Amino acid sequence: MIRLIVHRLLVSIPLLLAVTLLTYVLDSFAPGDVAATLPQGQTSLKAYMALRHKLGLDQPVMQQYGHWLMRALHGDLGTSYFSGERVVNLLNQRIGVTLSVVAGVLIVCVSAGLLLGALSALRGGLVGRIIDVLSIAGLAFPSFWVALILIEIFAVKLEWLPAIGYTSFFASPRLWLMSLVLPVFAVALHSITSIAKQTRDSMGEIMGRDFIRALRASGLSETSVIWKHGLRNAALPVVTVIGLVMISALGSTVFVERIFVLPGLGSLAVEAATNSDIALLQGATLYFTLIVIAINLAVDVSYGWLNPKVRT
Amino acid sequence: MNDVAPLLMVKDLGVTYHLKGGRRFEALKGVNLSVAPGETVGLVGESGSGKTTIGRVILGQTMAQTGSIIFNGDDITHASRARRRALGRDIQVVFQDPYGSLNPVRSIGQTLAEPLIGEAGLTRTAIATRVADILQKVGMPADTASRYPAQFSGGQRQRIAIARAVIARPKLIICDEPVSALDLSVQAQVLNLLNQLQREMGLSLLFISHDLTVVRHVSRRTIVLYRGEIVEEGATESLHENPQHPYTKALLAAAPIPDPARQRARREQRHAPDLTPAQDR
Repeated sequence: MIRLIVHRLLVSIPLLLAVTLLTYVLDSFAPGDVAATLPQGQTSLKAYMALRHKLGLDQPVMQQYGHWLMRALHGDLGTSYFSGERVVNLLNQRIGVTLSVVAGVLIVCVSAGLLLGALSALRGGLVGRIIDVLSIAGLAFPSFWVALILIEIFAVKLEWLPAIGYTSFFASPRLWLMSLVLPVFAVALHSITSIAKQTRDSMGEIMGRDFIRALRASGLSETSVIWKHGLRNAALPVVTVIGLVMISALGSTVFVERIFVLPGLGSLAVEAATNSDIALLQGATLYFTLIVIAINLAVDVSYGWLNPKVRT
Repeated sequence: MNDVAPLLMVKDLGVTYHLKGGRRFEALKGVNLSVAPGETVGLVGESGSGKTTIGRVILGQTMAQTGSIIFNGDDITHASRARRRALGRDIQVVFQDPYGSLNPVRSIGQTLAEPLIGEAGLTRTAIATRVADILQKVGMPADTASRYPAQFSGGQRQRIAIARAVIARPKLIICDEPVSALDLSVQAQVLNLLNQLQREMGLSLLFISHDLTVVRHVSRRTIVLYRGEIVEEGATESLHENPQHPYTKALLAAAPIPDPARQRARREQRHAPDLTPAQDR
């Protein structure tokens, strides 16, 4: 198990390098540079050139990336060109929001998805058909559209929940929870059905196996047959889907944070990209990549825990 | 038939499956059979003849529309869940597919302990001892308990499935094509194991198979099932030497003989009568 984790972590090093390098190169292709937008660079051409030199923008892209990488390895992600604040501080202020949304999505998706999936595998019929319809609808309606509809219903019409904004958990846990409900559901509705579908299919397959019949024949209670033996086996492919769903949910947070005006990593990354604040963008990219690596690692670890075949 | 009171009696059993579109399929029609304590009864028939359905009804996994199942003097046709749970200790099952019949994510030890859980006064060590004993009995190495199904071959898995069936010391085991998925040499080993356990533990076996030669190896009495009805029943030897019903003759003729010359002669006379009832043709 430890070997598996170490192996996965080593494999993610090239991934980190590739993602950050790609962001750097792509950003350098974008028109305009930060020296031209900052006030100090706008006084004269001389001041502009001086600022470019000061920021290191006159160096070749690979060299710039090399410098960034060396500093990043020492835990220094530089300072934001715009706010002048340290990137690490900016990111750390924001990551809590994004992680709250992602954790909420995980809890909602997994509990609702497993429950609905298992239910439709065992009862079949109506629940199954509803899931089919919803999953097609889920694919057809993107999360930002669902977000707007949810705001319309629950914030504007019913006035149950705040339409926008975020309250820190430490300020008020109740308001924190309320500010998360709509963003979480906007992202989760999309994903619940894919987990439910996978659960239903693998559950249906497992419950037809002979070992389930043997357990029933030896008089094991049906609850135990379903939850202890059935779901445990059915969970293997579901875990993979959960990992994929979580990664795509992380992508959706970028839109959803914009819509609900949540001060998270996603909205920060969008700001950084529009300002070509490369240091900040690199930092946000790095954080996102680390979250993805963490999700994949969690999937691998739970796979090993669920399936004795990979444990060795 | 024996003089002793039978362990299992199936009386006038009828099962009808309701298919899609309102069609009905009569899987079993008025089936009567009995198994005496310590006896092995062979149940043969082609696929679709209803032999597996009989096993399912006895296990309570398919409901009987007519007739009754008497086990050890009790009518268990419509046994309650609680009664079924208790019956699980007396009636066990071995399936055809050794790859599907063991839970892949549980160790062999956990799987074997399952039928013992709930048995009063059994400590963990006692369970471990029972598991070790039974593994030795079915000829599996001692470290089997800590390993997983994926690490074993089909024949080994079938031994484990048999171990699971006998560990709670049942009275009756339903063997549903237990060797059909195995190689010929492994088949013989598994059949010998079943015979040996049956003698040592005084088990009754209901041995379901499509293969008359396999049934001949384990049972003295054989029942031939065709289209949900019993067409012939009797001592296995006389059934082989002197089959009465044309379907039994056809079944016997279908089994290959390991002698090319005799097999060729057999092939010529195999054109068995068409048994399909006129209205189904």
